Amino acid sequence: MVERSLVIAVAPLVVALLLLFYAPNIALVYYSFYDRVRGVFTVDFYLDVITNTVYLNVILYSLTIAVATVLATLALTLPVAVYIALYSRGFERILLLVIFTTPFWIDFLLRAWALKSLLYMVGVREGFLALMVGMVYDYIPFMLLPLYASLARIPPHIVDVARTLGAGALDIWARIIIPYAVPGVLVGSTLVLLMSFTELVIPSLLGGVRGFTVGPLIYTLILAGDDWGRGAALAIVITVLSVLSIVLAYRRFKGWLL
Amino acid sequence: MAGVEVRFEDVWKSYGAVIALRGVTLTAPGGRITVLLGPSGCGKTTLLKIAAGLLEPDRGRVYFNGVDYTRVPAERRDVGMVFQDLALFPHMSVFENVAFGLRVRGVRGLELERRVREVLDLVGLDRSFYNRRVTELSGGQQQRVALARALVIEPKVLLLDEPLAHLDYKVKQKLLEEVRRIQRSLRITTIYVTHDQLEAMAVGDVIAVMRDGYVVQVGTPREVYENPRDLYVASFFGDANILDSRFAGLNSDGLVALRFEDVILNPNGDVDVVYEGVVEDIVFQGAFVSLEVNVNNRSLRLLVPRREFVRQGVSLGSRVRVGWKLSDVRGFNSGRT
Amino acid sequence: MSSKQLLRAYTYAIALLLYTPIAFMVVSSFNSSPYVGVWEGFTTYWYQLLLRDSEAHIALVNSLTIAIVSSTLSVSIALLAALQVRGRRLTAVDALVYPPIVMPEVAEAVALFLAFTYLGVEKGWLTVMLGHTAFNLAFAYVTLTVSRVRFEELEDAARTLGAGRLRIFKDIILPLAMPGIVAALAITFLLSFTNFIKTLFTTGPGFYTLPILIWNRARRPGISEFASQNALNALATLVTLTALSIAVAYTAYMLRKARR
Repeated sequence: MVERSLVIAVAPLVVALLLLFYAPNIALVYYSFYDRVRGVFTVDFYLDVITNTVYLNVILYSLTIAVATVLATLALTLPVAVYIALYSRGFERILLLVIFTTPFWIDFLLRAWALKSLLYMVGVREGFLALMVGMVYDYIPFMLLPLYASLARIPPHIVDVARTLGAGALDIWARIIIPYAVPGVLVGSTLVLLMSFTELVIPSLLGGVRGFTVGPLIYTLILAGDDWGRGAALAIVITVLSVLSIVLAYRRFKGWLL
Repeated sequence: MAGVEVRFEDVWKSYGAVIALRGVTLTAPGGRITVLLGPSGCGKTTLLKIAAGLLEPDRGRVYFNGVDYTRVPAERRDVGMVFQDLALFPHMSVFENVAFGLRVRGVRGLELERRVREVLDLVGLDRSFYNRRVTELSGGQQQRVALARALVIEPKVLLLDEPLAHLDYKVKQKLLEEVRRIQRSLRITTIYVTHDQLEAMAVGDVIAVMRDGYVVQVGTPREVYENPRDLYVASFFGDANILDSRFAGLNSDGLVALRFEDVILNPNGDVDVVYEGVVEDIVFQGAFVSLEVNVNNRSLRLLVPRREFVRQGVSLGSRVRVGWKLSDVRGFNSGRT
Repeated sequence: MSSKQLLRAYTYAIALLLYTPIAFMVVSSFNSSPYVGVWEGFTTYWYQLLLRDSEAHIALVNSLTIAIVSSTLSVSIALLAALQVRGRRLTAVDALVYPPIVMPEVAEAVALFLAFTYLGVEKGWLTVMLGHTAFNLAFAYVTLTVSRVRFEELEDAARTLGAGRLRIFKDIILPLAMPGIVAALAITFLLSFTNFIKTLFTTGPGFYTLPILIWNRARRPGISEFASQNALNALATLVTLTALSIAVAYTAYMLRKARR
């Protein structure tokens, strides 16, 4: 039984979410099935998105970039997470956490722009390299924090204990660090994969002609091309893909994200 | 003044499918400390919260000096309560924590300061603590603040829910003494919830042993200790060997209890039952030594004063005689465990 | 070098890399040349130019008003719910709250665009603000319920001391909920102030915020003096500094709270 006061207190939140999030999504679904030109309902847009090689190629290209981003950020941040979680103490740890979380507060767009200027100066122009550097640069914090969170759960002194039992550096990595890092790797990878997969700003700003990923594709379909049906269908397809992978990751390691 | 008498009459309470109290009738006499003793889940905290007005019973009544208080909410009951986790306000200083109940009652200025100071003096916290944050204090100090906060409103009844549960042994002993001292000086009716029999004996004027939502036995510590009503009370309040009735020397079936200290080592007459056995374990406890003696594959525990133990020169593997008086064997009505 | 020293050196190197572009941007904004990479001497010209940049002023006002209204609105609504929900787990509410956080932003933005178009609402301040609020509501609610203190026993304690509901709310619940409220306000303000994608899809002709303005100019740098690389660097520096000062103030506040 739920008491009245609770219902009254929760009602504005629920109503606001229904109006501002769920109702627009009904519009999204509606337009993904509705052909404005012919005035009929159809599944053609979905078929197009899934079977048309142009869309399929963009989706695969975006996925490749996203996977590459995941691997690169993982390789780059794992040692950092290990250092912060296992070796830093007191003030240094707080300092490092502040240093690595502060970029969260600065918008993607601004960081991408700042990077673009720098790359421009060192002679790297818009293209695949700039795109990848931008992706990795912007997503480092998103990979690092889940990694840190899972490694921080390693009980203190366990590494020392392992040493007294004769474990070498390799044993410590194989038997302590890696097993503890697994949930963080999973959460961080999911997070980075999903966000970089649907990224709009970095490909547009840094990718040049190589920057045509699903984000810019949706932008083009909806805002530039007026092709609402395909745009909506594509948006729904990537949402379904995203939600599926999050559910899979979240179910295994509840409580790690958020 | 004798203090307010608190009476529970046929109090029932359930949480969903779980029945926490099954018809409790109990009187906490005015000006005394009544201990609710029992294992976790026996309903003692529920009963305390009903006394506080934080919970309403499903059935039954609560009387303060004969006046029905069952439906009086906590904020109008004038009870002082110390919570198990203390529930000190983490964002307030020591002074503000204690002053809270007075401010709510509209006490201001010098009067407020005087009363807070008096009660903090009473619990032994001096001026240097007033502006400290409660989160900076040690467990024992936090305990004193919680007690002061409950006492400052001059409550009709003081309710203590496992107040010393998380403290070290020494701090606990000291605070137990202080609770007694303060309670005696204020003559305030106190209900004290604990699962610790030593704590219960140390502070209780009256002990109510609880189990599964019932009050099993009520009495002074000595009454309950010497005449436990059943095996449960016998083993929960004090320690006892639970023995087969015939082995214990009685001419009946069933189980009986025999206190550890009522088993006499190498008795010289003056006992009704004597067995021979082998010492299998010796635990030095300070004033007493606890022995485990194997008698025909039954193990008996006995508690011997240290001097007596030394005089007898017993060691592991010694063959000894053990015996007891039949009048020390506690038998119970059959059917109860 | 021990493995610890190696890891430490690496960690600080990555930290340095993370801030290099931002530092470069700040330095460039003081370069006399309109182009990055060609240092022609120190100047505050680009900042003076910003004073005359009426587009930037309009964008700033729009960004600020939208962020203030959206964060206040969403935190108020979420707080009302969070204070009543407390320690309880309301699966139905959680089920409604998490999808906005999980859904790809670009898809959510498309949904908002289509809904506003369907309804025929004129796109501008209101549509952008409402678009931000959907996401902010979810984030505020999660922030408030995660950083929640267990109030139940404190409330019970206050009640036995004679405090009524109003008093408990004013003296116990509100002060203890404050860090959560500050966190939620800071986070939602910044999410809204720096939001780009949802704004891009929910804005109409002639209405722009700072991120939109920066986007338009960054895609076609040099189209006017205001859009020259280093003028843009000055604008981006100011926006970044605003965000950073809020982040620093927020972190300091939280550390101070945590130490107590």
